[in-house]
Amino acid sequence: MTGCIPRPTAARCALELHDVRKSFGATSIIRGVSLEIVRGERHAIIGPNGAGKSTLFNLICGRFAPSGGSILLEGEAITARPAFEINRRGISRSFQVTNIFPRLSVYENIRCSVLWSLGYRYCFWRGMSRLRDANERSERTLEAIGMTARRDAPAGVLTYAEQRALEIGITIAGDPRLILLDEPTAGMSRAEADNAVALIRRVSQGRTLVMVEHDMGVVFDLADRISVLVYGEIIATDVPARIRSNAAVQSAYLGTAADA
Amino acid sequence: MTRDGNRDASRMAPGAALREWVVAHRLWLAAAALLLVLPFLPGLEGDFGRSLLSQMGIAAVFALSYNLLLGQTGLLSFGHAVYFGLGAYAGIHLMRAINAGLPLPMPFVPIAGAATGLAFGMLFGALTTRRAGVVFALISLGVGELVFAAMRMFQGFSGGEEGVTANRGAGMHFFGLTFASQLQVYYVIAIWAFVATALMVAFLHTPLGRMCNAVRDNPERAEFIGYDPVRVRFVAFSIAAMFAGLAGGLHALNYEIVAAEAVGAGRSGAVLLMAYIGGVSNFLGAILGAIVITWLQVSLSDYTTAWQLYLGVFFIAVVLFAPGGLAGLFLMHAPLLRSRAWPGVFKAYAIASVPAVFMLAGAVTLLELNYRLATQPEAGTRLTLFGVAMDTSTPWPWLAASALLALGFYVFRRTWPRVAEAWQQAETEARSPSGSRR
Repeated sequence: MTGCIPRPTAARCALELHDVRKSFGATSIIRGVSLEIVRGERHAIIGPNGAGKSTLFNLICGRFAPSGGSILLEGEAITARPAFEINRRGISRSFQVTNIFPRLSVYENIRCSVLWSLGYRYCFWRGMSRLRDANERSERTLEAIGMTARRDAPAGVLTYAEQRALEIGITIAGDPRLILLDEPTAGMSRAEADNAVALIRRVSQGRTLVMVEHDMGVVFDLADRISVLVYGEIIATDVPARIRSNAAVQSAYLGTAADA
Repeated sequence: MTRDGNRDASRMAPGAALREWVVAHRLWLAAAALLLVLPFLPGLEGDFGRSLLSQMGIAAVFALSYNLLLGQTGLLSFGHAVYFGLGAYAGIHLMRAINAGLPLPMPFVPIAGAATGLAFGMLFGALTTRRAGVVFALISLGVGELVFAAMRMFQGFSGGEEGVTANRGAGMHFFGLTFASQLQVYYVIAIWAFVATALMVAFLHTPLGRMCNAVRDNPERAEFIGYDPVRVRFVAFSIAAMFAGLAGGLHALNYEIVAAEAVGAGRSGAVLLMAYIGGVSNFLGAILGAIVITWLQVSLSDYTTAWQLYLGVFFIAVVLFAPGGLAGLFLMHAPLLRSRAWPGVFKAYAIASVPAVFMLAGAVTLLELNYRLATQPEAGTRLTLFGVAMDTSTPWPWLAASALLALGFYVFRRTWPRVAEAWQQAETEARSPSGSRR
């Protein structure tokens, strides 16, 4: 499946999936996915609705435990570990349906997201205002997502596009090695999506990025490599130009999309 | 950045550092001063007033600990009195030990309450905080019943319904404190309440305190920023139980008696009422709720035997019409006072309050008449309400009260739109460039 491109060596791999499977009851959603994400690349996973893209994300980040197979982060097994532990090891994800802390201010949303990575853990003996590194990193993240002007607004009252930007801010605030973005531009206007792409390009600088995305413009604009997931199996992984011309992909995915 | 700038400047001038500290803590200093003078204010300077203040202080700590759970961490508990009551028992037994010769100063008894609350909070918290929401609420109810039943079983420890007594005056006299007067008791309680409040507020501003809010808002997302929501809830629960235990220890010191009801469902319900009426989303609102409910419990029961009914109606009214609680009502009016638009609104309030008072008087009279007939037939048919003598066996008081209620309600409905109108006007005025702010 990945044979058509130079196989990434283990040392270059940020994330490896080996024959990962997931079924809910009798229904198999993920049917043996093997995938290697190269360190520093921007990798997009595309596929028709119901192909299992979001489920695959949920398996990687620990929201669900896989039914079989193994997942390795930088060569270490993280299969079926709790979500918070996987996050602590350096994988951070965003959600397709906005998933923020609605009653906290924008600033507090970000500040909560930097705490663990800076080692504050369950600390209840130091005031937040004295945590200079946490505050500085929060300010930088606010700037990166262009939300400085909205810092004191409760997150629940933001516009949709602002909430999507905050969603990405929460995801990157903890300085993760690997970012998983689940449909970051879903439901956005063209202009908003363009802003989001610029934002993703900025924040993924120096990190590994895996994204699920429906908007082909965004995918071909951002991704270094693309994997095509159809009915729980990856039918191709390649650079964008070759994915575009891949016959199997065209019939399985782009073809159906064009028909619809 | 500006904060650090200020700190650099203050290093040069020590007087400025003190001034900065005073300004930053002005509310705390004002609260401390208020606690100091409260027992000498007219109406509160007697033993009754000071005892009322002591009860309010205990209730405030208890209600704040409950807000830590419900308001800050999103855990609705129906059994928070467990930790209050067990803390109270620890306190009273320590007092008995001191009476028997243990060389410990009495004012430190609440520490035993806090330690016991913390220990049981960790024990039961480990079992109950795995889930939030309805599951947590139901388990807390079960734990409450369990502990109450256990208290009635272990009579030797709990004294059952009669309770366990001790004497706060017998033991070593710390700094000359003999607890002979209610004033000394009040000051010990006030100091503990002040310290506990400061500690709880400080806790909310730590990383874990902030994560309590995050877990309340969205436990799932908290996992994806590295936190285990079960662990966050567990620590918050344990800390809330510790402060409830501290309040229990103060209760032992204040009453010198602790009975099984201290862990009972009634007390768990009362603290929920206090936190809710004060305003769940505002932490210090719990103090307001504690003051109002304690006052109602103590003084309303002097006027009427139906006081619990009024308390229930009051609670329902707050839930329905002021979900932000008393603190929410106050905060709602704060921007109004800052703009110049408030006279219109307050005038509308004054107008609407006249029929409201009539309506309330009618409702209260009907209630009292019914209550007298239904629950105290032995007290006879004559009673005096609002200075008016009446006889329940004649139709006149019933008719008059019904008329008051109906008429008051009708006129109130007619005047209320004026309040809404005044609010709207105030809001547009505050937003327009001619308003005082902007």
